[in-house]
Formats: sequence, C-alpha cells, structure tokens
Amino acid sequence: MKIKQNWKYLLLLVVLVVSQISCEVDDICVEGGTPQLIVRFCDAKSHVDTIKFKKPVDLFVRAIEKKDTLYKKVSVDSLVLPLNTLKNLTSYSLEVKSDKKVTDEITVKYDKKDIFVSKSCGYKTIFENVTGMHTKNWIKKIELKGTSIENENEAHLYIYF
Amino acid sequence: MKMRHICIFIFNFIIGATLFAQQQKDTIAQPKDSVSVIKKKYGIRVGADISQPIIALFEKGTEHKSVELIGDFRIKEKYYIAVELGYESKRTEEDFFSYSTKGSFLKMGANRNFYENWGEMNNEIFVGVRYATAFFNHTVHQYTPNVSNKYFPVEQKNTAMNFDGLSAHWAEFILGLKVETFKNLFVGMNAQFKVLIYSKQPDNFRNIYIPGFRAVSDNNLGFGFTYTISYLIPLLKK
Repeated sequence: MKIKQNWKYLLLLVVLVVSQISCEVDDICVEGGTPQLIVRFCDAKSHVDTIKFKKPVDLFVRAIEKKDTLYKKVSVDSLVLPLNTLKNLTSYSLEVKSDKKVTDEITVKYDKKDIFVSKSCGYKTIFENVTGMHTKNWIKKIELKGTSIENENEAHLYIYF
Repeated sequence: MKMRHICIFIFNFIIGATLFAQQQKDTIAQPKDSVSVIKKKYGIRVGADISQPIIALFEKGTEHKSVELIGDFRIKEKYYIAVELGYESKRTEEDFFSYSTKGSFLKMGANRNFYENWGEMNNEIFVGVRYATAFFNHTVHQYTPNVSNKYFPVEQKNTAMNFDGLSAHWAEFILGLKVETFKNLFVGMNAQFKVLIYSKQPDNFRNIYIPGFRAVSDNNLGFGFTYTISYLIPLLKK
C-alpha cells in the first residue's frame, strides 16, 4: 500500500515539475512578416508560356529617395525588393552595364493594409491594388502577377529585357 | 523571473513536506483507528487562488490583476462538485505590439479523490474536469508592422484598437492535491490542461490570451498552474 502511494506521489511530482518548465517557451515568428516584392528577370524574346529567365549584367539597385544602394553589381535572375510601408508607392532605379551604364526606373503603387498574423509575428503590411510603371531604356516590359502582394511564396513582378 | 521560480520551489517544498509528514504520522496511528468507523466531514469549501497575486508582485513590466475564487461541495465520499470564478486583466508587451485583455470567467465541473485517507485525515489527490467560459475584450495599444528588411523606415502605430464582446468556451483537465494543514484549512496546488472548444475571434486580432485560460497556444491548447487556499464549512458528518 505504501509503495503504491509513493509511486503516485512521484508521478504527481514529475507532472508538476514538467508542467512548470514547459509553460515558458519563447516562440519565434515563423509565419512571416511584411512581404517584399519578388522580381524575376526574363528574356524579352521568350514566349509568355515558356518564360526564359535571364540575368542582367552588373546590376545596381537603389530606391529613388535613398542614397545607399540595395544591390551592388549583382548578376542574378531574381531580386527581393522591400516596399516602403510609409508611402503608397516605391520607386527603384535599376542600373545595368552593357556597353555603357543604362538606368531604368520602376515604380510600384499600392494601397496598404495591416493584418494580424500571430503573437510572435504581430502585424504585417500587405499591399493591394498594385500597379506598376517603368521607363524604357533597357527594360522592354513589366508584368504584375495579380493585384495584391500578401506573401513571398511566388514572384510578383516580371521584368522583360 | 528567478525570484518567481524560487517562490514556486519553496511553496512546493512546504506543501510536499506537510503531506509527507502527515502520512508518516498517520501510518503509525493506523492500527488503533482502523477498527472504529470514522465519519467523514461533508460541507462547502470556499477559497481563492493565492499564486497569482504573489506572482504579480514579481512580474515587472506587465500589469496583471487576477482574482479567482474557488469552491467545492462534497457529494459522495470521493466526489466533489467544483466551481471557480474570477476576473483577470493583463497588459502584455510582445515584440511587435502591446495589448490588454480584460474579462471574467466561470468554470464548473467535478473532482474525484484518489487519495486513501486514514482516520480523520481529509487530504486529496484528485483529478477533475471542468467546462469553462469567459467573456472578455482586448485592446491593442500600439503596434509596429513586422518588417524584416530595414532599408525603409518603419513607424509605430499608436492608435488604440478595441475588440469588445468576445467569448470563449473550453474544457479543463485537472490534476492536483489538497492538504488539510490546520483544522478545516486546506492548501493545495493543481495543474490544468486546457483545450479551447470555441472562441469568438476579433477581426484583425486573435484571442491569444483569454481570462481564466491564460496564454492560448497556436494549436488552441493551454496550461495552468495554481496554488490555492480554502476553508471547509462543515455541514454534516457521515
């Protein structure tokens, strides 16, 4: 009888101790915060259904109102560009080097909305009614996939050159 | 936080020691008592959660008020009908926002005692189930949109948002003990495992804290730990 009771105490003690340790778990944000604009560069000669990705040579990227460049001399076929959550538009200058330096500007306009994600992530800003404009020095065409930017699962903007 | 753990440890130690001390004493007295028929006390036991007011003293940076009254009524030798009711208000600072939750809760259910009492002992090691409900509101005081890239500045938004008229329903499974330390005066502790059944969610926020339930995990589960003190008003013996 006595052994049986001690066993119960032990079980209870273990449960109580474990429960106290397990209550305080620091959680980290896994759902993701404010999405950034995902850009892919494509060959202007490729057909819409069979897009060929293409890397611009020595690309420099900088927001119009900023002095510091975001990307310096990169050659990649995709970019991640943050959007300004304090304004309703963000403009980037994209400079490439072929024979000489050529610069184009792309502007993305949007409406902002803050939506609650989770305890650890807080609120994120999503972008709706997104439209895009560009200058045509080396960029031939831009194309937006959908009208809203809510996550970073897929590319949002295709740049053909 | 360290202080809080020390307090919890000391408290556990005291309760544990009391129970073990009683057990030893009564084991010796057992042969004498086992012959006569002992009448058990039946009555209404009322008390309060004493851990939250103490913990609140050591919680720096959060405003937390919690009152919880507990009561039970013995219906059979091993069965008790149990009720808890309370009020909670808590302000919490998270990484990207701060919010308050205010509201009251009610829990109803039963406990079954598994402790074999000798003689006039009146202790409990019990398991219990509860149906619980809470009515509450949240206020988000400020938030900063979660922007991982720091290329553009981000502004904190200070417009308070109120989310009123919220409610929740959940089930609780309890494991605990109660020890009669002085005549009719009980100290106890118990751990609660909570499963949220339904909650009315606010628009553009979430019930991440519910009075009585406390922190709600992503999979709608919760855990609680309570120290209690209660007094038995004896009504009859049988």
